[in-house]
Amino acid sequence: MNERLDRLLSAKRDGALDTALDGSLDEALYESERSELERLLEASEDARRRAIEFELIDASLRRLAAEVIPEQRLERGYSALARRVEASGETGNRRHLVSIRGVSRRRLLGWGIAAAAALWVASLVIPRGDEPADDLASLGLAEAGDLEVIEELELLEFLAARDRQAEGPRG
Amino acid sequence: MQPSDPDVRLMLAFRDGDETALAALYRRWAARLLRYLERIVKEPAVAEELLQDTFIRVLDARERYAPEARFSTWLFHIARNLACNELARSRSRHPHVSTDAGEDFHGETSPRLVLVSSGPAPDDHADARREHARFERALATLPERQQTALWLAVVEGQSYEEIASVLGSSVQSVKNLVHRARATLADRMAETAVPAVERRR
Repeated sequence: MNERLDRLLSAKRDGALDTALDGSLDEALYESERSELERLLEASEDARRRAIEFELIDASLRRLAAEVIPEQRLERGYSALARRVEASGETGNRRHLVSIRGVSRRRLLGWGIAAAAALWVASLVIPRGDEPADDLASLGLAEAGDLEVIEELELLEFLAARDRQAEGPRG
Repeated sequence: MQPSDPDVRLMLAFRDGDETALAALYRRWAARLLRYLERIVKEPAVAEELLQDTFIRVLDARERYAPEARFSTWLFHIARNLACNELARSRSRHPHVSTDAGEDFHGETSPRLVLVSSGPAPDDHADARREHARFERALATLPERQQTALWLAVVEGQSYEEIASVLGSSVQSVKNLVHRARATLADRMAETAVPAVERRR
């Protein structure tokens, strides 16, 4: 009877541990739950082993997801997409697709950073005009394609600079 | 008020007539979508086609697009639906695909797709490669919903709420899926660890 009860209690503890580990890895724990998990990990070697197993799973998955997909393959995919759109012969939404070829990522990145820096400086010195900047063209970029290689943080910086420009000088 | 998600802003630019914004979105998302789709449908050529289909859906939706969630949530929702349709089609197309009891991509308990193993890779002498392949095989045996939930949580960093939106299920269901995926993978990796060592001898 006691043995059965122990097994049940153990299973319940394991379930709670797994749930807490999931929450921890997915950054979905409240502070109190995190403290409870840390206490569990300190107290139990089994808990620590399970935590390592889960972390290894996530690390393996991230490694799998980090496999590089050749640029040429993606460009081929885009070309195929463009051909399919043109072949559909529809009007309206399905027009032709602009090319993503012809301009290297490195050059676009340079343009993006230079444009963001220029806009940031401009936002500090140029007084607000009557027409606030409201689209990509007004940012000194002819096309949104110029933005395409700016990574997340750079793009956020860029957009923040645009907002600052739209708001006008501070103070 | 400007949306904070830069992809939403690109999509809005595309909606408002900037044709190059779609190319920008493709640049930002194609590789990530393709990796996900390859995991789910397991055939690179099919995954590429589904990637194109996903962007055609984006193209078709441009005029009625209204940002209600993160762009990535919407994009993965489209891609995942297309992948599920493809899996359903392939089930009838490929008789060599074996079945196993489990939860399928509609969340019901029914036979699910597991591709017949092609055996060890020719160059699986290196430990890292063998481990990698072993993990891939274990991952491939998970039901689609578990794979998608774990992938979105771990690789894409989506919240449980966002994953629930992609899967069309509840947050609690997503928690369960993520948990079952991790626990199953951990158990399977542990189970197959010993034969892997023995094989090296």
